[in-house]
Amino acid sequence: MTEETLTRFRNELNSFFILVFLNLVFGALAVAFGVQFIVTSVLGLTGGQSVSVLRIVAGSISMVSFGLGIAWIISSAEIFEGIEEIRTELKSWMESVSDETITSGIVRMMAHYRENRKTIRTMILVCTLGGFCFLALGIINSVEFFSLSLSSGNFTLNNYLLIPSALLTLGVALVSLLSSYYFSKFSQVWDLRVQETERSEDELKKSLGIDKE
Amino acid sequence: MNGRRSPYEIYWEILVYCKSPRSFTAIINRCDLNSKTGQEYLEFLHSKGYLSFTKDEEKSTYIATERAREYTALFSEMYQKLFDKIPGFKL
Repeated sequence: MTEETLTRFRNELNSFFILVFLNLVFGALAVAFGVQFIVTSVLGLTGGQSVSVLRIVAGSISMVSFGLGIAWIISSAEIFEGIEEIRTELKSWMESVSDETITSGIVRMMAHYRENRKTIRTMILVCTLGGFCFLALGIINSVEFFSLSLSSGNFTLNNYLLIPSALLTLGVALVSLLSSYYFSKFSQVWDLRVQETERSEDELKKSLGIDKE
Repeated sequence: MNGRRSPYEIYWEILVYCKSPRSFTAIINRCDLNSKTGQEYLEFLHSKGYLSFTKDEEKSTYIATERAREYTALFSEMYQKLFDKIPGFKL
């Protein structure tokens, strides 16, 4: 059982590490895009560009996205630190480790999860909101470079330079929504484990003789 | 070890660490406890017969008793089962 448990624990920890690391990267991208949209949507107006409702909406959403991006990075960094510590310790373990070493790793991860449960819940919310904000920005950006003529059925590309930006925004939106999904999955698994340990506490109480008092 | 641990997890950590004789300071440092709570945990484990206390001229030490094995084995089994019973997280 020990080897199998160790492999499972290791794989799970690595998957979570990748997820949190990707979140840090995409959080930084979200902040960068937020700033870019604020600059083009709001400050661009001072350059004599026309004021459109679309621009005002894009400017507002980009400010929200910027704030969410900052929250995204802070939450990811908090979780990342603890996971990295556990992973470093895990790397130092040899191939065959004792029962106690594995249990110690599980206890650490359990404590880390309990401590960060609230942050992970915030991440799920931030990623979902961020995802929808970026999706909206991506759509607004796409609308700006496509003009569709309904009568003739033709569409025209107004500015080729906007295409990569729109695609990247949609990419960030997709990653953000995926992150939210995976964080929910991770949270479900660990919530079940925490519940299971709470249930098994009765047996531990019996073993310690606390139940007789 | 940081983070939010249950008392049972702390008992387990103390007992595993005290497989060889340990001083009070070494235990509270290793298990990340303050002296007040550390004292409470040690007194509890001592009163239940899981830890024995030896005091000689030079220093005082705690060591886990044979009884402690039952608890640490049960604890390890339960925690490792969490990875067998519940489907894991995968990307």
